[in-house]
Amino acid sequence: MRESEFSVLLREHAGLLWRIAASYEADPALRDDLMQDIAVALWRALPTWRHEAPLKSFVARVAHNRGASHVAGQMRRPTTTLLDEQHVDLRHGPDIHMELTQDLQRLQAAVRALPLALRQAVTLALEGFSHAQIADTLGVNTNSVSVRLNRAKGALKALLGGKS
Amino acid sequence: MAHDDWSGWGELWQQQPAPDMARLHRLARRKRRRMQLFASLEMLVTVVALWQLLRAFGHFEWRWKIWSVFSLGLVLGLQILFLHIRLGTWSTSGSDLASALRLAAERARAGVRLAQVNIWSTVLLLVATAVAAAPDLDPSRWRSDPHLRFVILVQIGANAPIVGLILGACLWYMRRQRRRIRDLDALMHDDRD
Repeated sequence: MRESEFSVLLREHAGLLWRIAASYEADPALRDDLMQDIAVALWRALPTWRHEAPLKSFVARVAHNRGASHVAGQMRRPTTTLLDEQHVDLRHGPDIHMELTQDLQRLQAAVRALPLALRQAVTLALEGFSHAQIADTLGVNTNSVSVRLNRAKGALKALLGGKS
Repeated sequence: MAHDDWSGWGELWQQQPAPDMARLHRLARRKRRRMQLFASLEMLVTVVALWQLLRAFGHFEWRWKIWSVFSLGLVLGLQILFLHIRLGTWSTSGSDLASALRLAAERARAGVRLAQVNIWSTVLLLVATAVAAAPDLDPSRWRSDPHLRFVILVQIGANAPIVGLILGACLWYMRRQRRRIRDLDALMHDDRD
């Protein structure tokens, strides 16, 4: 793949990759680094893509694998939950914007608090992947995905607590 | 939060801000330039050190000639050993999480081995230097020779902090990599559950 084609691919999947990076790293500067690492991992992994899975699944899988190895070593570092407010969708009014930002921060923090296996399944479910696509992306069976998502749903409800 | 089901959470999740790709490109370019600068500096230092060694070789006493050949052999041997240790850690991981975590752990273990080799090679070089310098370190010689005393003091003063820094950095790095290996093992255990 040529560099220009890769840039297009990266732009097309930027939102997905950014959200996956955000599910592993709360610190904005470290998230930038993680995003770059994911891009490098993707560049190296792309020649192994054999079209057996949709490109979106392949991209998500590479990003999750890189994110998981990023988590190790960062586990003892205190996490911050900063969200670049200036980038949040400002089409809503200021009050709704504030509430949206808070809800997003709470959801991000709740997702990050999940164990790795649940977090990966959840982020893909939140991206609109079907159970079969999640199973294919994570290399597990659909039963395992259902179990993970059920456990995750309970955990998320507990973590999001009072306002759910 | 009003969103208590997957579709609600999904809708909220996807409202996250899009990344500023131009800014990320700028950061990547800056990082690449920094790495190129460090690589050039490393190469320059190596070339200057080799050039000085070769230039002075003819004026060395036999014991320092042996020491020079030994040091060059050690550096070459280390490069081969480093390559050997790194073999297998350059590959990309398999498609699943377990293989990605295994590869990350393998890289961390290779990092620990590299740091151990660095520590032992530094100790070996120190011993070799002490053996080569033994006649000069005899107090009866440096007490009566102010120039030799000055050279020994400068060598110790300049090299002791460098050796201390190398050993300290290696120990710190090994500790960090071992912690990473423990974290990766824990994540692999989580993934199997």
